[in-house]
Amino acid sequence: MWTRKASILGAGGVSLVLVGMMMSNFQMMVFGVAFVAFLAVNSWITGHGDIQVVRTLSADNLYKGDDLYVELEITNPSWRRTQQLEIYDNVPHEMKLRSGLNYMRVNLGPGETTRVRYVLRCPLRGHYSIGPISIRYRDSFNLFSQEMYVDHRSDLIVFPQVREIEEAMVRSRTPKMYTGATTLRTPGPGTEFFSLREYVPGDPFKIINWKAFARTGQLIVNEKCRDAVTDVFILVDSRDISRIGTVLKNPLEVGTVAAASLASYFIKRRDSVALAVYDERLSFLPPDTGDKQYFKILSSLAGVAPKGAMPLQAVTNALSSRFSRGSPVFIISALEGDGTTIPAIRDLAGRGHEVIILSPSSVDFERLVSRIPRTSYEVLKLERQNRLTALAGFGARVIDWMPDVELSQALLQVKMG
Amino acid sequence: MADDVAIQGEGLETLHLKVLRRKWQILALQITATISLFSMYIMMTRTYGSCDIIGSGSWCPALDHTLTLSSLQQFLVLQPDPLSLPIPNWMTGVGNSGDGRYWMPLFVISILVAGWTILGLQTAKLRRRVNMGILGFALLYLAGLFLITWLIGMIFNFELYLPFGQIDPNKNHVEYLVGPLLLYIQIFILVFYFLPVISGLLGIWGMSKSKISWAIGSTIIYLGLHALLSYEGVRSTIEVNLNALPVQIGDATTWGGLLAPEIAPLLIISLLLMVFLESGFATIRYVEYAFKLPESCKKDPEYVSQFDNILNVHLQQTVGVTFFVGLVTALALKFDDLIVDLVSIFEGSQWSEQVKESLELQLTYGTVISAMIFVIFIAGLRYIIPWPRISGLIEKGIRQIRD
Repeated sequence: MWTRKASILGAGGVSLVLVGMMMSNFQMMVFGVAFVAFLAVNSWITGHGDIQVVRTLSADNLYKGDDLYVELEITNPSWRRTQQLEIYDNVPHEMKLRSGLNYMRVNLGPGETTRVRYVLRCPLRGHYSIGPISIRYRDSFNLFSQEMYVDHRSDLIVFPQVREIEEAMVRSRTPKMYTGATTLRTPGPGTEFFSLREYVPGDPFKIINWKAFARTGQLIVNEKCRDAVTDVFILVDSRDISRIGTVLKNPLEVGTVAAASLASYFIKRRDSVALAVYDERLSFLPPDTGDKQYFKILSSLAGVAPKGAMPLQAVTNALSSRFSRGSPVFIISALEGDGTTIPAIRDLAGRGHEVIILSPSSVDFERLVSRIPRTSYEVLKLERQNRLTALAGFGARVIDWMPDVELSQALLQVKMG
Repeated sequence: MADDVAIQGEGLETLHLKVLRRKWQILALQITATISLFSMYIMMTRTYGSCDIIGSGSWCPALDHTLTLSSLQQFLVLQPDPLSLPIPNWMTGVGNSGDGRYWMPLFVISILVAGWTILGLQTAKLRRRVNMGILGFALLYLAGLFLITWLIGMIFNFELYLPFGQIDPNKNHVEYLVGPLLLYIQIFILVFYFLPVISGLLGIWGMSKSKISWAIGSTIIYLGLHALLSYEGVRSTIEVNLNALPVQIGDATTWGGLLAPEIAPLLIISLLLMVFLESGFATIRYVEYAFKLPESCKKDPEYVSQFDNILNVHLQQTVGVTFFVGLVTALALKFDDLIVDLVSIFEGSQWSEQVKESLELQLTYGTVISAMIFVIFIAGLRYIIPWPRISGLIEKGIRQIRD
């Protein structure tokens, strides 16, 4: 493609030739012919964008606030010079350049390789993709340029931050309901023998009972007792209303951090953790334990976005058959804009569940972005306090979580009915 | 995977502005631009710096400042109270002939631009002080003596009076303004004639795109004005004694028989203008890019080596492209002769005889149209000769031999 400069030069050259012919002025004509000749000669040395690009990331998964190291290896495999090549690695706008630059101007000879290195900070959780690589090549005199993409993408997940809450859980009243490890008499991942069963495809070889196989000629596997304390259910409110506040500080953001931290804490204790996220629909991860479940939970929390307005009672009704009897249920919600909160929690508590509500104070989050008159603020706070007190009255343990309070500190403030 | 990603390295060479100013490739580009600017100006003065009636002492709007300064000097000498111009002739080049008229002013301009560029590297405070100092001195020199003598005159004579039109010549203090005004007029004339060089040098060494544009613009305006004023249609109405360019060109005797002597300087001016334009702008473009890089990239050896690559290739291409543009233009202007020679192969036919004797083909129209056809043919050659591949292959071969 001709650049503006080339167009002006070309048009100017032809115009000078024409005017020169009209005025019988050789200087103009020579100028014109020389300008056009300049374009013609330069058209011989246009560059190309046939390059090989390999992107290496320091990690595919990282936590919110972590740094990501990116390296782009660019090779010119052809026999031609690339001429002036501008390389721009498209980075999600949520990420911030911390060091280096995702842009470089190169002029690669045949077979030459160069590297672009930069560091990104990931301040927001989510599923991201780095790339494609935008390329623009042009000649040295900036007369002809061409733009193209190299469709090379690298996917990564930024998990919500996981806070250390062990001390808070020990000191608070919340964990007291779990009095220690009790082996569940159900099959599952564990250490203690439960029973023998027939091998089914997908079972790992290491659990095959070779003695039984030798004896019977059939593949038999050892089943273990599920080695968990209990099932912990975490319900995260991801409705549209939970976006109140700033991009980095809003009920949903702090809620995901809380959910991730709780999941981490309970999975480390070898409990089974289930996650339910409700926005315009319900996403449910059945209870399980281990690193795989932990990864699934973090991955699910990374992709949570505020949308929809599903009521809590619809969630509890839908999950009622899946809740293990007497299992604790953590509800992380600002408790705003949902008239079904009280009946839903009353039902849960009535069914014998230990309900712990971690409620980020949406009024205070809203105060971070807009000025609320003092009287209105006081009224809103009072309404919220009444709501929380009512919930506590149904036997739920309620935590009123202020924006400037750390999660571990918030967990110590259990409000009892 | 984490171990595969290294952090940005730091080399001995960096892309900081102080280093870039001393980088040989940047200096080479700046010197190329400067030499081409000076050469272009000198070549222009040789082509456009003379009047039609030589030696008559009459003024014409040629690109020669000495004509205007001499005319002004003559006018001042003829006044009842003869005056002279403050800047001496040895400094302005008045009285010299040929290129000697320009060397001294160009030298003085170079010194002043060098001073201005060095001043540009100093702190903003010092720059402001020097600028204010120069401005203050200029104002004081213009009006200082006039105002002081006028005020003292009024105090000692115990009366208020105007500083002009007085019977007592001692009370006509306005005459103190004549000397400074003459100096400023002389400076203005010099600046007007040397504007392409002044703004061009300031643009190259002060890294200003707008000043380079001013240099190009003023050059084109001079050439355009000359073309207009020497145009036959205008000359029949207003005769300004300009030495017009030849309308007909003679036999090609220069550049190995490729160019007519009348065309050679015109082509050289065009080529020098392009070299000046490209080198000047390229210097700024590359330095700007390096300047905008973050600190870590300025130290990164990969960025430094690619920056060197860009500059080296630009320098090579400046030489190559200028040579080929000159050659292609010269060949293009000679293409009409080639057509006539080709047609003469078909000797004997009526058509070939007609073409051979065709005046249109050998006159301006034929020359230029055939030149444009040749240039288009050259542009189309890229689809026949894979030049980038050939040059890449040569480059790869050279590298392998070197390794």
